[in-house]
Amino acid sequence: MKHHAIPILLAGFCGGCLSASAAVETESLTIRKAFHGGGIPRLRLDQRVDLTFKPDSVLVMKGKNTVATVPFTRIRRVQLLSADRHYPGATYAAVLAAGYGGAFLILKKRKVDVLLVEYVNERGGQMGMILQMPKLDSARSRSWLERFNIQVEDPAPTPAPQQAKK
Amino acid sequence: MRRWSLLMLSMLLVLSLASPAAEKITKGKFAAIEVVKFDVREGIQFPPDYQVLLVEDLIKQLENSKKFKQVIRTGENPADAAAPALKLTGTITEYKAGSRAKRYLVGFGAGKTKVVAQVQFVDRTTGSVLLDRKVDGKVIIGVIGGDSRGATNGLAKEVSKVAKDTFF
Repeated sequence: MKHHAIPILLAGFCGGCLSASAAVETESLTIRKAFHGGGIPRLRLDQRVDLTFKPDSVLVMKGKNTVATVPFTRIRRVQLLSADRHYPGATYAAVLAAGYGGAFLILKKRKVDVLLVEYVNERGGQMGMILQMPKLDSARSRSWLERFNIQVEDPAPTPAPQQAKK
Repeated sequence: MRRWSLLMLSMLLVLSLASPAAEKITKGKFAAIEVVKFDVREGIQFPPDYQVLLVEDLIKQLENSKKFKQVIRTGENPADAAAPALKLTGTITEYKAGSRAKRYLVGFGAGKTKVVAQVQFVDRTTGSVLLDRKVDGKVIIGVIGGDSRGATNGLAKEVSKVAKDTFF
């Protein structure tokens, strides 16, 4: 009797887990380890941040602290751009390890998407927030925003600016 | 002789026309400044994220100058609405994206990032242009070639210096 009870209990437990995770997925979407590209006070460029999309707002988190909250009602424009990231930190390490040959690591680039959110603050002032993330995460962010009727624009491509990774 | 006197006369005329604009600027008059997002001249492919970054850099640099009591964004109102305030507007007239890899591997000015803007300081109350100046920001060298985004910060630093020298 006991042997039959364990799988039934496990199945019930896992079923509960699945429904709980699905509920979380519909309530919020978290993008981990995006890069801060500018616009958020008290955050340096290229600092890692987590983004949490909720049905009515987007939160920018640094560890456990919320560094910015933008309600959807205050968003005026969202654009999704393409950019490249270099590896200056890794290049520096490679130069130290392998000499001048390591400097050629600077030629390596990674394609990223830039989420540019223009919004107004509580005093009505125009602000902007720049976040870099991998293409897969930007697609998830786009679908979340469009689900809540926020138009995401794709401006005409410009020559890719060289952007750094620290 | 007559040619010389004509030349002198025309020079005096030019000076007399130019001087009223200079006289308008009273040092220390403006306590607040509004920063407006810069326009981009047609044909210049300045990335939209750099446009936003430039506003943030301008606000940061003007605040760091500690000359203005308040630096405000478009849509915000100064704390003292009656006090004279400036408005900073501008147009990006030139942009060269450059290359971090070229700056690091080649050097000697190769891969330089450059942003040039024509900026105007306008009296927020009267709408008259007090100063029209060309400013630029460049990244020529830096740690592992230097981050190209530093060009907007360089431009913002120059704007802040111009504001400090002209209005204080």
